[in-house]
Amino acid sequence: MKIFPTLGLLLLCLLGTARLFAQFPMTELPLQDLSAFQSTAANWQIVGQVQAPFDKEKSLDTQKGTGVLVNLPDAKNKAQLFTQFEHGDIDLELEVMMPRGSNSGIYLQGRYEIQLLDSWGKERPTFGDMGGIYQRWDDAQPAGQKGYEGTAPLVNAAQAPGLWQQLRISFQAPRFDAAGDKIQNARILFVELNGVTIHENVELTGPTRGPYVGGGDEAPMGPIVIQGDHGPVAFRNIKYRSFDGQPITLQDLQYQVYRQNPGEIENWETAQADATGTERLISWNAAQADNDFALLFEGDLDVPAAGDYLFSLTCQGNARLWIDGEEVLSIYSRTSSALHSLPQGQVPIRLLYLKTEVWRQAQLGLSVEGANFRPVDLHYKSSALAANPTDPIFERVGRRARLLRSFVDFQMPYMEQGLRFTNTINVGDPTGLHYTFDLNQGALVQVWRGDFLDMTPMWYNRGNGVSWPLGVREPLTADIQFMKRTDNGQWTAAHEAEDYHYQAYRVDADNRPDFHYQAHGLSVTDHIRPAADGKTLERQLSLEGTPRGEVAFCLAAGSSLTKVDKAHYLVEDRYLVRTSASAKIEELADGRQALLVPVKGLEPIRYAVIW
Amino acid sequence: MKIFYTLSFCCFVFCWINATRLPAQEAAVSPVEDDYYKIITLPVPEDILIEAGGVCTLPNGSLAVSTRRGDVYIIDNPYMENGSNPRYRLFASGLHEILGLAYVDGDLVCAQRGELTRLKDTNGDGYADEYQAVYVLPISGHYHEYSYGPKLDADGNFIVTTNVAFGDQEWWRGESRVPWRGWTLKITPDGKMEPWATGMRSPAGMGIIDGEFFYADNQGDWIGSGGIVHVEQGDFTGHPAGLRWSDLPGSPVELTDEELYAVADPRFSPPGQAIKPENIEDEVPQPLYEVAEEVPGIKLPAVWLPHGILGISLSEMIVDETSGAFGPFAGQVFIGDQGQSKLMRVDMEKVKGEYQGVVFPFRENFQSGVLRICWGKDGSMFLGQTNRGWGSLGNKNQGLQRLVWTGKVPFEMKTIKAKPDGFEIEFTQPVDKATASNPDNYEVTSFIYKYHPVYGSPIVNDRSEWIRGVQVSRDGKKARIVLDEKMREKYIYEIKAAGVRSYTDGHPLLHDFGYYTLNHTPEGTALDLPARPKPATSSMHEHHGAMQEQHSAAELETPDANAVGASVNRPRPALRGKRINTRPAGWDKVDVSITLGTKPGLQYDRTDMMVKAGSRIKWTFVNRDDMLHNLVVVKPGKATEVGNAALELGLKGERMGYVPESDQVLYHTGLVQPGTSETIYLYAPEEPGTYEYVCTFPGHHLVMRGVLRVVR
Repeated sequence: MKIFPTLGLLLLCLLGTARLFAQFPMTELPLQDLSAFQSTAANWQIVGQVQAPFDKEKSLDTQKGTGVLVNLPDAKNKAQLFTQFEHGDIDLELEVMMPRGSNSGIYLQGRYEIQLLDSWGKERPTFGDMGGIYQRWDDAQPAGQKGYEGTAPLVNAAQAPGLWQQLRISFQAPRFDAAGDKIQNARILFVELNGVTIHENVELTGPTRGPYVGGGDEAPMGPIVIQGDHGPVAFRNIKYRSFDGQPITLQDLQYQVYRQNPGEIENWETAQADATGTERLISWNAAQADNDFALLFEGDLDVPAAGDYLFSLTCQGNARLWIDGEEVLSIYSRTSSALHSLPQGQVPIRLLYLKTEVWRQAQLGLSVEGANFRPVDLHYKSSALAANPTDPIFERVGRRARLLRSFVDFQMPYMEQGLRFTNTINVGDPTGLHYTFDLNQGALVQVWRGDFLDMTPMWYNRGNGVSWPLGVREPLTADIQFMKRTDNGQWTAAHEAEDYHYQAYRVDADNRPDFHYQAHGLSVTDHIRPAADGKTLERQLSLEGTPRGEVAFCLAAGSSLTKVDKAHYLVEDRYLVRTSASAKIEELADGRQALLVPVKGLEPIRYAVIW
Repeated sequence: MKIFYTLSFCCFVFCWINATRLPAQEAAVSPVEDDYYKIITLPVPEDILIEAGGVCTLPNGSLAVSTRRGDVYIIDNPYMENGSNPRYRLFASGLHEILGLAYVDGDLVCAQRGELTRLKDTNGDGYADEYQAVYVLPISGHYHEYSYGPKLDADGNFIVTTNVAFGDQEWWRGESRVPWRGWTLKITPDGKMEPWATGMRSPAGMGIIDGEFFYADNQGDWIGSGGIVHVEQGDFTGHPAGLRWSDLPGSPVELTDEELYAVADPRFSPPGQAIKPENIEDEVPQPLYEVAEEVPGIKLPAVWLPHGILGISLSEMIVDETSGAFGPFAGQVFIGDQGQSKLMRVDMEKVKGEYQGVVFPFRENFQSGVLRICWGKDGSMFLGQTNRGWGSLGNKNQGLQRLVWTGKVPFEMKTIKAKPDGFEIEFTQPVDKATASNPDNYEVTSFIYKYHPVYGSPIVNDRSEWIRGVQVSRDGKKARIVLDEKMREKYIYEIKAAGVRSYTDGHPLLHDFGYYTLNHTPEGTALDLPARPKPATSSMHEHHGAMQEQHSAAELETPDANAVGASVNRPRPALRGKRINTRPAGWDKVDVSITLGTKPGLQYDRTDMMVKAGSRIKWTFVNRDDMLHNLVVVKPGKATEVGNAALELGLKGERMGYVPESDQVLYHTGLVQPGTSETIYLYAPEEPGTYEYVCTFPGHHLVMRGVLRVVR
């Protein structure tokens, strides 16, 4: 009933996270063999598993099997790879692994390149870095001026070599008139790399440098081409969805407005309308009031082909949607979607909007999406507007480290409910490697690279005490640090009040903190710093005192832990842990695998997080 | 230079002539606060945001300020001597919304949301390098869980207070989600925590007076009005949320919430529903003192500060220890208010072992919400300010100011003491005996607030007190007021002395009212004054429903020939009353339907609207805020006048919905509770012009307003 000022902020937080996944299934490119691709050279192969040794240049180790597409070029075999299918508007998702120093590219319609490169740790990425929209090229210009346009990623979201990186591309093909003349440029609707938006609605004035299709011309359709002559690269889980269908449209839309006790009308067939009219699209403005009315829209959907369609209804107040007499959605002040089967042809639709709560701002929107067309609004844009967004407050790091305490929200797929850490400190480092540390348990909560913090949720208006990391974030094992072996032989992270006691942090001349706490009888000095190369985060725990019982330190825990080489462990395919300590992998009571270093003889514990 | 000298000389001569020519009893201009206490705004570098959560003076006279954004600055030369600006050094940064600051043995100690933290500069470079957790404070992560302090008790322990959270379903209800929220905590320097007392809702106001800990709460659920409470170990001060933990080991509070709720109905929502309790007009009011008679362990405020008149969100209190450097109020208490951007002055006495006393207005017009105050080394006062997210009368979001006494003594009620049969007012200057001994120059009203789960409380059980007589002391500095009826203990007495003039220059009092909380009637000798005859028509109990007349059924007067609309071509029946809540019977339709909401920070969500002259308007005002607001439509350019008139209403204001009786007021709503709305029906004025609408709740009118353009 009451609209808290914080609600808007919540929305703002959500915008910072990855975009929602589509409701319609995507087509997965079969990677049992190369049949999805046009014939090519021997550098392209299907394998079972790959590993890119962390420290080796352009190196990719493979194992037999299926499911992973690799490019292993040599002097003779270095062809590009063309898909069999051609596409216009498309959503494309894939996972890609870049070996150290390697280079490739994805050419949409064979013409517009999204660059793939090991750009790990680069502070100011260009159009030529991982996820960049490559520049265009004009041979007629003098040397040094041939390249033009190209769009650098908004932020360098590239991860370390050897990690599977997630790439999502949403592309809109150029449009042509009947005469074949281009009337609208191609457009990158968005690109998301490792969960971070790196392009937002970028127009492409023409093909990027060195198109493999069309020789500089543009067309409605074309295959995807993957560059094969620049270095090894691996792909898996390649999925796409093509939007080549005709969208649904709305016809013969009429409306009726009821102003007399609109909340109490039971029979809409007999109710007396106060006003009627026709409209092209849905809008609450048809009611000519912003409260105390019921508004009934009736019209026909023109359905080009039988199939399932996704209707999304949004409103402040009550709204109900009937299609062909059947109630499909009924909502109260939220957004909700429903999949509904429609036959081809004219299908009657009826939408009722009831607005009787004055404290809500009127809002009504209905959109429809098909398996082969992107969501189209059946409303005027002005009808579905939410409140104006606020100016964000971003906190940056200067010459010294920037410390900033806040609540920190933390959610992992395996958690039923997210956690809110209340005594956390965010440490922003001038090198651009930042982390969150939980003072209540001595845990490294998350690391990220790029910009520091979005403070809007905490500092705008009253705020909610929460900050949000900007840049490429990797959640770590936030809930386990020092562990103790219980009487039944199990390792447990749970600690009693006397097992852990946070004391202080002390900062050095650059304002970088060391944390001091006591855990299981040990006095711990926790020293976390970016490595000299500015790419990894190193942690050293110095210990004093006598451990109470059998105590170990958990470097990482997760559903899967793989030893990559002598010093590197891969955690859930998401990040690497490097340690020279004699660590062992053990299974925890909750089923997770944990990388444990036993506390023996007060040796300092050292490891690095690589992501 | 020459011109300057000449001008000031002329000015001086002019003043001097004026002064000499005036008769002694007739001052040309009544003095104002600024004549006695000057506000100096400290220049702050543009990139520093002083949303002050704590201020304290260091032994060398520099000022330390902590901010909501987590920084601590040490400001050298805050007194701007040498004609130079203050110098800002960042001492510490990165803390979580700091709401307090204290200097202890070379360190600064502050409460952040989840920790009491000691900041140490161990290497002497002027920047804290050790952030020591004195104590990790309990917190669940709700936005409203602020932590305040520390104050230091006589033994050097830290006192910290903790805000409640709000319910998820019952968003209005303060709740304590983890142990010791809604509590006062004592923490030893080495980190041992002792729960001290509970009943706190939003305890932003803290102070040490006479070596004892006092706190001031904010009006809200269960808290009818702000007030100052002497907090002793084991006390329960009113908000029930913290009682959830009174049975935990270490709790000195014995009262449980079941025991309390057996007497005071919490009016919880039925399962699965959220029904916000609203004030019940026709119930027999249950004030806190009545509950306290049945439920042991309840501590009543030592001094109530009537909500809306003397503050809406009380903050820090400090004792005048300047030995006269700050003026004639040595030993008295100053307390700030965030929402009204002002300071009040409190003087307490101990009667029958308990504190009680009086509160007066003191100084207003600060730039933002007055949250933290401290004394400078020279006896001036520093005021650390912020209103972020709440809004304040001072319309800046943050500020740092200094208040300096000019050396002139204002004509004020210095204090009021309780007597067995009334009160004794002490003045700062001798009074004119003719005015001061006339009972008609005083007004006394007693009243109290409800104790209920509703946000705030109306004034209840109010009674105009008949003054039997006034006796002025020989030196003219005291006036003893004798009341006709027996004194009502636990009640608040509004004491107005509007007609009293000073002896020397005939000025009225700078502030002519105060509120005395009579927890106990003192022993002593009553004055044996004869009864004074009351006038035939007693004005007692006159307030009841006098102003907030609500025309639920629209009444139409006969058409007024002069009011025929020029632009709307039909006879227009006049509406009787300025607050019509149902559609007038003669209206076949509404021409314009307006929905006006609120935005955070004391704002309407629309500030410019246009209507046709004479049109029939249905105007719904929706209060989405969590403070009380109203909507008053006034004549062009009259918003400030009407807003000021509302401020002058004093005690009557609340009952009148803060709508003054004025021809400038065209239409108005009542006070609209947070999360509710009110619809009024009105005609747009016939005369085109730029009319104004304004919230006249005290402290809001300067910022919360808009214009209604009436066109043909």
